[in-house]
Parts: sequence; C-alpha cells; structure tokens
Amino acid sequence: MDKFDRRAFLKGLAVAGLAVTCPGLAGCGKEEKAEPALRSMTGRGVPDNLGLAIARGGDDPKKLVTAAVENLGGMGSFVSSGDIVVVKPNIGWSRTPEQAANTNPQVVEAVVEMCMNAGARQVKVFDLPCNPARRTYSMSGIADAARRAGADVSFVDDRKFKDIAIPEGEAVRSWKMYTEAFDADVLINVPILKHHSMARVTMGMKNLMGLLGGNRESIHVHFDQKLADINTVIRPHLTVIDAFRVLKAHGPNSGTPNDVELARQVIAGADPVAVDSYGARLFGEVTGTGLVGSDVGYIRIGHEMGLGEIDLEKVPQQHIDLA
Amino acid sequence: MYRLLLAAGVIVALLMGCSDEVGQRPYEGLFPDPDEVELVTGAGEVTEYREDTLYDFLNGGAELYFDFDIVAVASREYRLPQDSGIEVSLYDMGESRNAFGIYSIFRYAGADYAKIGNEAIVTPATLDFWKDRYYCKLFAFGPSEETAQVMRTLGREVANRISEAGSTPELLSLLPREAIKEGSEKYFRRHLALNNIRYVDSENVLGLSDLTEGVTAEYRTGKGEYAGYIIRYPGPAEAGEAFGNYSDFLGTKAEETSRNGIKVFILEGGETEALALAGSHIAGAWDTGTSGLDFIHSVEASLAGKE
Repeated sequence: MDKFDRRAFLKGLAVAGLAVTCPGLAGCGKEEKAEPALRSMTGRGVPDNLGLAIARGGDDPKKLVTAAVENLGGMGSFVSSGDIVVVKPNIGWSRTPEQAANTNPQVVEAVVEMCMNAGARQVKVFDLPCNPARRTYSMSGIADAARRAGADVSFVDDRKFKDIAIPEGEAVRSWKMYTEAFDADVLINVPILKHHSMARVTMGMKNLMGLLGGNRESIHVHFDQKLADINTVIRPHLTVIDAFRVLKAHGPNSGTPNDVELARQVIAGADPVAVDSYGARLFGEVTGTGLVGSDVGYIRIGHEMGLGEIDLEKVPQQHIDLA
Repeated sequence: MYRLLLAAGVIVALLMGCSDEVGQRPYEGLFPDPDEVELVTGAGEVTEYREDTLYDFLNGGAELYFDFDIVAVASREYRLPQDSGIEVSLYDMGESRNAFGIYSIFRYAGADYAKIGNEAIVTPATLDFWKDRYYCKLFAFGPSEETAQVMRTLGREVANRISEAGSTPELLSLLPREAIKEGSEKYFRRHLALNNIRYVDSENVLGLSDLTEGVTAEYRTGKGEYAGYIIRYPGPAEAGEAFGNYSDFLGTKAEETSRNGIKVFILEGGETEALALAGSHIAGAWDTGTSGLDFIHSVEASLAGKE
C-alpha cells in the first residue's frame, strides 16, 4: 500500500471508528483516550553504566557490530532465550547502501544474527518508509539481509497504530505509535548516522520516528522538544549506530557520492543520549564542523529530561580498533 | 437578449469547468508519455503533493523546500526492463530564483554538469536540473548505463516541455568572478537553506526572512581557499541591525579584530570570519585569509554608488 493510499486508508479507519462509536452525530463528543504504553520497555533490566563501545576500522560492518556489542557484554546482556525482539533500522528511502540514506544492511544482519544466537524466539524488522515500502525495503538491501539472518521482515500495518500517552511530554502528550514495538520484549534501535536538512543530524533518537503514525507535518513543529517527549516513552534497550558510511550533507535522502564519507565505525550503547552525543561528535569530526551533542536540540533536551548523559567525559567508553 | 445572456452564462460555466480541470492537474503535460521515450515500458500516474501533503512525500526534508516557497511537487515513475525504473519529481517553486535556489543547494565545484534545462548535475543514479520556476529531480532504481541514458532522455523531455527558461537571481552578479570555483555558487533566502549550505547557528542570527536573499561561492587563490557570501536586506536599516546582531553573536565566541576597515573574527581552532556592512548588504567571508578581505573589498566597490 503506497503512502497515498495509506493516508486515505487511515482517514477511512478514523471515519469507520467514529461510525462504530458514534452511530449518530448526537452524543458523539467523547475524545479517544490515549493509552499507556502497552508494555513498559524500561521494565527489562539492562546493566547499569555500560557506557559506549565504539568499533572502528576494516571493511566489514558485521565485524564492527560484533566487536562493539561483545564489548558491552554481548547480546545476551540484552536478549534472553525466548524473547521477542524488534530491530528497528532506518529503511526510510529507496536508496542503495552506498548512498548512505538507510542503515547498512550488513549492520542489520549482524544485529539480527546476534539476537538469534542469544536465543531470541523471534526477531522482527520493520520501519515506516517515506518512499513506497516494497521498493525501499528491497533497494536498501535490508529486507534480504535481515531475512538471511532469520528475521521476520514485515511492512507496517496501519491497524497497529494506537494513540499512546506521553505522561512526561511537554510539547506533546500523546501520539500514534506502532504497538508492535511495545509488544516486544526487547527493542534494538539501529539507525544510520547522517545529515538531515531540518534536524541537522539524525541518529538513534530521531530514528524512532519510524514508529510514529499520525500527522508527519505537525511533528516537525517544536520538533526537538517533541522528539525528546516521544523518547520518554519509546525506550530502546540497545542502540547500535551505523557509522560505516556517513552522509555528510544533503540528507535525509539527496546525497551524492561526493557527500558520503567512509567512516568505518559502529557505536553501541544502552544510553540513547550518550550514544547520540557520541554520534553527533563523530559527525562533527567527519564534516569538520565541530558539532557536539549539546549543539543538537533534541539531544540536549533529552539529557535535560533525564533520558541519558550528554557529557561524554562522564560516559565510560571502550574503543576497539579492527584496522 | 435573454437568450444571449443565457448562452454567455453557459459558455462561462463551461470555461470555468475546463480551467478547473486543468487547474487540478496542471503538471501532467510536463511529463512525457511512456511510449515517447525509448526503453521505457510503462509509467504510473502523475501524483501531486501540495502544502498539506508535502510531508508525506518528503518527510522532514520538506522544510528545506518550504524555505524556498515551494508550491507543489508532481512525481511520476517510469518503468524500465529488469525491474528498474526512474522516478521523475518536478518541484514547482513558484519563481525561477527559488528553483535555482533549491537546485543550487546541491551544486558543488567539480560536479558533472550537463546542459539539460538551464543546468543539470548528473551522477550515476541521479539527475537534477532547473528551468524557469521548476526544479526537477530524477532518480534511477537499479542504475546502469541503460538507465543513465534513459534518465538523460527523460530529463530533456521534461525540460523541453517547460516553455520559459527563467533567470538566475540578480544577486549572483555581485559575486566577484576572479578565482571563483565554477559551479560553487549558491542562492538562499532564509535561515534553514543557509544552514544547509554552511551551518551558522540554530537561531536566525543573520535576521533572514522572506524579504532577504543571499549568495555564496567558493574561491581558490594562490594563498588558499575560502567561501564568500553576500546578503541583501530590504534596506540599510535592516542590514545594519543584522550586522550588529551578527557581530555580537560572533563576538561571543571569537576574538574580534579589524583589518583594512573590515571586522575579522578569529574563532576557536583558528578559523576566521570577516564581514562588512555595505548599505543594504552584508558581505562576508568564511575561512578567510587576506584573499577573503579582497572579496569583501571587491563587493564593496561593486556596491559603491548603487545605493
């Protein structure tokens, strides 16, 4: 179902829902109440103060992922036998891996493999693309790579969006979110590090927008606060940033080969703010702009809201060189 | 008399209906039919997106296009053999300066330029061009030599259907030509576009608005490289206010000095920025050495006596 049909479909659902709950116009005054997150994602114990693991060098993204996650204690620190895991890559655009608009498929493949080896009962991979889903999943290489590793790859089902409450939200108090992410035991966020024309840089916190339904336009007003608000509810257990190729400019989807830097790094951590703060600094190094986490509004606000640590001096880091 | 009025009314009603129909699908005629292009096996419908649906097409990327007052985008996908295809997206930017502006964001010195439309940038999988008020992006799925060839043909077909050429922004003529890196010139109007050319700050410290416009270009001299910019404000008062605010902003993070009457800010890491106020304009240079000051003097000389 392409984007245009999906929008019409959602409108139709809303109308149908209204007809079911309000058979006549009279008495139809109740607002739909936002639900709490169906299952708390903070309930699963993740080891404290894991810090970050940064693997760099070589030509094999899968080895970088393995090295980074192993240095955090291995995937078994996050996934237990029998778990249902959601792996959320960036599959936003109909672009090839070399164009660095989506997560590297080999990074996704490695994450899925590690989850399966840790005993996961099921690993689900999906995203809500901006381009037609079928072509985007294919061109990105992610669908094939994830299936090869044993994942269940699916397109987003519009019926699975529900209005979820954001109790700590300051700019937004509820938003339509994809409930399949909440139904899992573990959520692993696997973004790519790249330039974004509006947000300046996109990584983990912003990658979670792929789990959002609703009005894409309105989310971009007071964007930084809204994104931080949403991150108070969607709490990945592990974030693995693909920085093997970094799109330095013309993101989110219009980079040319001139814009792509082979940085050959993967950053992993359980603290979403720390991971993004490191990613921002890496982006600043790659682009020569000196960008750091505190320069990025949503990272700074996320830290202020208690979502994690922005000061990398306070975050333990392990650097693994595979060159 | 009554019959004459009735007939006139019917004719007017018919004409209004016709223009409504044309108005609903104003871009369709700019896309070639699939049988007009060799190797194309079919095509989808032309899909149009306007202000309220633009985010569905571009997501957060839409903001940059709004910076240039986008009116609409129309997109059509052409199918080629072996499951490859080309997406053609035509952006109506309302005015040719806006079309050049959004196109110029993607320009860079050393790009593979082609003569399609007014100018085109070509990569193995993409082709961007601008003409009149339109900016056109072509993207090949399953890029190959064959799709690259069809992409150029499609680009020419669309460009040929745009009757007027339009013109580049007049402000570009103020950029000194000596030592300029050809293909590096860019045009902007507001804050987000400038930040995409060269990040300045999250706040609009240069006071850009729908009443301002600016140009940048890169230069290579025997003494090094730098980037120069010129911003035009509605009048000297607005330019003066922006100049003061921006100087204060730079002063909070840089050591301020002066050379040949031009303010020079030395930032952390040794980077420098020079700027001067010239009537309704601010002229500046990033990563400047002595050559950057020459840029500013050249712009000042061009503007002298014009305001």
